[in-house]
Amino acid sequence: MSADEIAVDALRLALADSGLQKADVDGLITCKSFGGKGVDTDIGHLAGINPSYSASLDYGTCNFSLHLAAMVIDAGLATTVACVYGTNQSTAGNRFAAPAGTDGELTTPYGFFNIAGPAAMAFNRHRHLYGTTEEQLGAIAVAQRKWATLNPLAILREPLTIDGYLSTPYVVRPLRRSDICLISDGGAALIVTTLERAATLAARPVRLLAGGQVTALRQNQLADNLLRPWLATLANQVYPVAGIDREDVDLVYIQDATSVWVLQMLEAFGFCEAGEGGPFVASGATGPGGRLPVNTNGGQLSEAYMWGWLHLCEAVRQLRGECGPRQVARARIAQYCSTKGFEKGAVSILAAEGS
Amino acid sequence: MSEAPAAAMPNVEDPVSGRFWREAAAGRLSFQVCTECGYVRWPPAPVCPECLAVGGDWKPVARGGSVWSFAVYERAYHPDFAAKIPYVVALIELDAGPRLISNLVAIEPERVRCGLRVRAVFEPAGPEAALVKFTPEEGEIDE
Repeated sequence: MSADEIAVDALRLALADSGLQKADVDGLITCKSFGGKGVDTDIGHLAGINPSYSASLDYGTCNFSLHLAAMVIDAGLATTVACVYGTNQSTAGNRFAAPAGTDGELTTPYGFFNIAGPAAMAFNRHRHLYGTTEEQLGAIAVAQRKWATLNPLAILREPLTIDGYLSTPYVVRPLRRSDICLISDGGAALIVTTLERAATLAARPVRLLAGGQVTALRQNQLADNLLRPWLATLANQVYPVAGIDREDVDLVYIQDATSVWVLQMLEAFGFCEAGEGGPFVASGATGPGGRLPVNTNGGQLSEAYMWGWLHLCEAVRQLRGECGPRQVARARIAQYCSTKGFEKGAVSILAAEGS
Repeated sequence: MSEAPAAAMPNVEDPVSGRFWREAAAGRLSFQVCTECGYVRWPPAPVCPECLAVGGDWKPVARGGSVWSFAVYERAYHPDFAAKIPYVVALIELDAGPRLISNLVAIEPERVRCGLRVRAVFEPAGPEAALVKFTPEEGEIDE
């Protein structure tokens, strides 16, 4: 299947889930995917819809798409927006041999390829500052694999132990294959509408309490940019807008291009102190039965790589109580954190309806 | 999300950044310096990101800096690097200001550390260009 066919298939499934017909969709926001696919005009044409509003975002993670959908609805441009993503990058042969940053012509002569490069640098800096160990980093992949063993949709469900993790070779030292996201085919779609309209539908809705965004477009002209210190500003913004305290968050989703992102964002959002991310994940806090469930689908390290979109799908499923053996009891509030490279960050707070 | 492996050779023809590689071929570590505010610019750009003045003069700067952090590539993502693994990519904070992605040479990967003092060296890459790489300052590595 082509990337756009997959995206339309995801749209079909999301419509069926929500109880809407495609003619009800008056907004379409797509996310460009590998190979330049995922353009709104192509996907809308393939899906046979004529929404009042349509747009493509050149970067995904679904957070930016979700926020745009909410703004479109608030502005009165549409009432019911489908956010859609599809990719066939595994079968289409994406080997992730892309430059590691946005200045590829300046850095590929030095062999700076793949997101694992800057991630390894960020981890080495964290280790230099705080003494974080490879065993602690490995605890992230191990915890997410534990979640994945409970998720029938996950691609990697074989148990992973810390010894097994440490016995695998480095890819970009100190990162191993299990620290780096999968390459997968697949798609995701979410329907965003008003609370009033959602109340009339058969599906149980999830409420978007707040969203926040931040940029660091000057990238490495900023000190310590690979540590993304600017993400902390999102934490200060989003909880007051959502009307919650950080302690109210039951589920955390972190777009995990690498395990290092999880380490960074747990600290940036204050789930542990700066520098304490290593001991925090090594304690088992983020795995099944832990006090702060993180990436309960297995994340991009174990479930599948959908540029963060599946994190939001999983948050919705958990808040609806649909997750079977991996269901987190009494989960009412979920937070989804994502970044676009080292230049943008976003966060959304979702709540189970009625909470 | 670009798909094709990028060329591993510097592009000396690039109208904005080509000068960097040609300066290196002449043994100079040069950057655009803003004629209005003096900001030392990296990456190359037609406009100063501090004061928005257009242009800027290429000027040599001091070759010293320190390693902010580093990564050791054990896998070749591009065939040009298959014979080089393991190799070290580092983010260098130059004393002159710019933060540069480059390679560390003349040092074993196990000995690299954050904060290591380094200086620029030039490695020819074709007839007109050189790569700017970094080597430890004398006395930085315990024998």
